[in-house]
Amino acid sequence: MSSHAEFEEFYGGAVGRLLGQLVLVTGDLHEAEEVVQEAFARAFIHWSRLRDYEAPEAWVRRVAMNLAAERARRLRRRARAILRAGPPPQAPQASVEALDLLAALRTLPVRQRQALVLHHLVGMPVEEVARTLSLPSGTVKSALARGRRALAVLLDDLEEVPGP
Amino acid sequence: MSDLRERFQEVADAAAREGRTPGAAAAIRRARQRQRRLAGGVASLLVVLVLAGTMLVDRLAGGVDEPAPLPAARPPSAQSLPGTAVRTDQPAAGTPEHQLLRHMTSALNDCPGNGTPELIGWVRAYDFTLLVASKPPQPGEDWLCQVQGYPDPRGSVAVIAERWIHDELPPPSRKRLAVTGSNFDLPADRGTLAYVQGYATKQAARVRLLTKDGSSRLELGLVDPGDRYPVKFFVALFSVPSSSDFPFATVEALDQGGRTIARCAAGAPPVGDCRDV
Repeated sequence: MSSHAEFEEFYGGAVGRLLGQLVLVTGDLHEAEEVVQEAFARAFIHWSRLRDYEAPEAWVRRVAMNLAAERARRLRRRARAILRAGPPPQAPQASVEALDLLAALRTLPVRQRQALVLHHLVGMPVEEVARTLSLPSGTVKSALARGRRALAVLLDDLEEVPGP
Repeated sequence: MSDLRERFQEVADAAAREGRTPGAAAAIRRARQRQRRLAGGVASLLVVLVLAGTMLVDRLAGGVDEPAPLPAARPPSAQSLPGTAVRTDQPAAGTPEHQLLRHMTSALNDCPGNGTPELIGWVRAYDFTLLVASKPPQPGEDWLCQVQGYPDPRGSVAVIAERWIHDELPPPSRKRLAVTGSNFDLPADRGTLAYVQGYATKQAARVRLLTKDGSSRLELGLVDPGDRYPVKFFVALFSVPSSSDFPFATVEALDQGGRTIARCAAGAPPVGDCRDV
């Protein structure tokens, strides 16, 4: 099989999975499509080396996660971008509960979202999440705990905010 | 939260079904464009670096980012502007504002400290609403957690938290005067919608916002949430002529007699972050 054909097969098999993971990190379908596509473009540049990897998908996932974090940081640095009032984020057609989850995830720091997705959706143990995100294990554990706690508040037993 | 994985999977499956990534061929095209840019980009990279260096020097020297002028019709007083009337009542249950408080509460819970999140106040103007929430500092907590939030007129919601909250950094000490603000790039009157929000020491009676030449000003009253807080808060929505950056260069806190008791200089727009000087 040619290098091109191999890449196309790899792309076809992994793109949906990665898109599903990244939409939870970015909170927006278009944003997820963009970072996944960019990660695959970078993968193609290095394909002669990546094709021999045991799991090239892990490489693409890591690049896409980094791109998502970079974009989130860039948005934070530019307040106008943070405050932009553009069209509402594109969400996949899922149940109301799933959309609530996506909205709740969008309120978490990107590091927590990444940790939650890698651990709870991809199924990575904490140590592997730490390696993927280049973070200490303790930081990942803390991000997971904070993220779960925030989601529990937002999705289940939220208390009223009393007035002053 | 035991079903977190299932909930994640549902969203991921829906995205995988509906995602419209343009295919492997497009990724390959993008890769080749990237390779061409890299090959031809060394000269232009040098230019960009030089330009970036110049801009940095200008920025540090205060030579760029001239604050935009306020509207020609200078506001005679805070009371005449719709976006300066701060409400402190709870938004009605079921409204977007009430829903937004959930997200603001969650953000405040991530901020260090043992106080319970509270709504401080909210303003509404130009079909836009901005809420401020905080949590009272407890003994030994010398910082202040506060967030702003708004239901986007086009459907989404946003919570604005300072970077140290978002990035879980050690909290900075509380200031005598702190202000932040920016431009929403939304139409308001004949200009665009901007906001300021901040807090001032309890001794302050009002705050005054000045442009760089000091000619235009906006004076705002303060919300005193009671003894549980060592500060008073302020928030306002207003219109600026265009999608310019944060329009104020200096913010002053004034006491009851009109004396300036704290002053801060706004940082480089568009953030307009303002700290004690």
